Amino acid sequence: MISCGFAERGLIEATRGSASDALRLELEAHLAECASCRDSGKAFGLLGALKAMPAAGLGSAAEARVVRALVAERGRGAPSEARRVRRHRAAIVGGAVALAGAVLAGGLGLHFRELPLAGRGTVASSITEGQRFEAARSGVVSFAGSSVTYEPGTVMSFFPSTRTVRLEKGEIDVDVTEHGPAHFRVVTARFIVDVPGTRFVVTPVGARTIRGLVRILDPEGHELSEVPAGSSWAVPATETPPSEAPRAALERAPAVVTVAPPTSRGAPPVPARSGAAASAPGAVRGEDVTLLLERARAALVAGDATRARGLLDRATAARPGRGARPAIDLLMADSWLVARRPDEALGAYRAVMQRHARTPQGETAAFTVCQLLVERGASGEAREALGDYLERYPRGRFVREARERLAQLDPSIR
Amino acid sequence: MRRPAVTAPREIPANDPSIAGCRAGDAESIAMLFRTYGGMVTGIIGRLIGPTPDLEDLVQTTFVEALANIGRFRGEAKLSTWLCKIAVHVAHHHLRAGRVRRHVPLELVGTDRAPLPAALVVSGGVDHLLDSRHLAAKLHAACDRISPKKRIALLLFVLEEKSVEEIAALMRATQTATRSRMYFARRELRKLILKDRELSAMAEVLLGERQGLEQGEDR
Repeated sequence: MISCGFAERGLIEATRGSASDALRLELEAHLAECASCRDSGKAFGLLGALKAMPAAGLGSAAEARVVRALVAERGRGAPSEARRVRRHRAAIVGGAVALAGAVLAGGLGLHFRELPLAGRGTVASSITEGQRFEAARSGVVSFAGSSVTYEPGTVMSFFPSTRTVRLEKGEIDVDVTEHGPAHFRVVTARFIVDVPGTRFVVTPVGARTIRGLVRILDPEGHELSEVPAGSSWAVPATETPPSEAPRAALERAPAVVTVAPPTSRGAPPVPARSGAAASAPGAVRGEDVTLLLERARAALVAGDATRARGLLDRATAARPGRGARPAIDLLMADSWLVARRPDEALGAYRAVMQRHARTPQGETAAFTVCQLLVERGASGEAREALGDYLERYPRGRFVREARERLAQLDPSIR
Repeated sequence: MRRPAVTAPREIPANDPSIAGCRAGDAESIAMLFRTYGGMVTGIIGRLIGPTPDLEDLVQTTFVEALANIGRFRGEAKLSTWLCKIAVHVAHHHLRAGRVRRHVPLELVGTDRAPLPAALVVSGGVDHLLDSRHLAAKLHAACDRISPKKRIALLLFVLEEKSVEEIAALMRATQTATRSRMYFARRELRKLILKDRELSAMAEVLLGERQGLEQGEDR
């Protein structure tokens, strides 16, 4: 018997009138067995009936009226009422945009004096090597094939020759859209983010990948970890922050890094090989939930799921606040993945998704469920899960990836 | 057998004198443009919006927009494609405004009696006409609850037999977004039909009849 996905495609073809007789027979056999596809068949049956109806038409009197109106309209040479309203509206909107632009430019001029261009999509070609900026307000700048969105208080320097941004303070959201001769890099005091092409957020104490894949390097250029979409990485709490970003890293040529295809969040994190994240976590100071979570993350990065679960159990016993619960549950679900127990992981992610639906962790869990189902080859379930994700989080962090996955999975539309 | 959803109109070439006539406001050229493409535009808007007393206004708006912008028509696409794009935009704006009037003449309002699905498929009589109009009104009323972008993408694909590429171009969207919209429109429509008892009953009978007809053909 044909699959449900194939049956849906058959239903569409049958409604469009392009299904072969053989396909119709297989379709009928499938519909007799499958209640879900039978429901789809009802919708398509009605659409088919709608299609079979004669096309709407205007009577001859109505047609004559329309022609008369068109000729009169054209003869007047004046815009219709609707067009006048639209032009008026466009003028108002245009004026407002221009005013907002002027205010924004003025504001940036005052608060972000040295940044030559700060409009979305503009190319800051006049940024010179090592130029340092301090932002008083949020904004966006295009730099070396990327769009860098900065928060107030951000202090950063740009190095166009090596496609590098040095972040000293604050937070930047980087969307790397173009490939260049070198990987895009963000250097902070304690680590370097090396980017084949993706979108991510960096603060001096960690990075979060929104799309694609980034690599975390230590200041010497050794790889610490890979952070796939939906995951984050943080500097271990035990490390003392250096006072300044490593200038040597900026002067050095970009390290040769093999560009791996973006992996799913569901894949176990790559164990850190050296540097900050690989160093043994320090002693627990009391039962500080934040510290326990940091240590659990470090244990997961090192591939030690059992230790991570122990730390998470202690965090749970320490009566965490409402804000910490989603993080604990998500890390617990991650631990099952690291332990290579996908069934338990899937159940745990589903629980996080339902229990903490309104939190970022709930959204991450919902998307991870989709990815796990895709990797399992359960395309029907994955389609439903992706559909649910997009319905629940229409402006979510993984919308673009979810749409692409859904388009790839939907065999009914070619 | 595959059949075109809307009869393709005779194409007016871009260098035809009537195009220049339309630009100059010549009444005869405008009438010719409407005679050639009026049916196509009416068909598209009718299928996207459904039965509404605003159909005439929407067709007129499409041609007003087309004539106002005909100076920008460079002839790189067929005139029918260009007009189709304008019609889709007009339909989209109308649906987005949320002011679709579902005026059905009194004699077409549904009754409590069971529908006559057989008439939908096989007969061409008055009952068929009445029931099919009722079905169209009901189905489009259900579609009114789907977002305009999703609804238009699905109806262009299924009823107008446009390809995903064509729909994406008509709606100025990516193919991924178009596929996604169609997927969600199907899903929502299925839910809406299952919720509506009358539509669900009509669909059930239609499905049964189609199977019966095909089994009959096999014998």
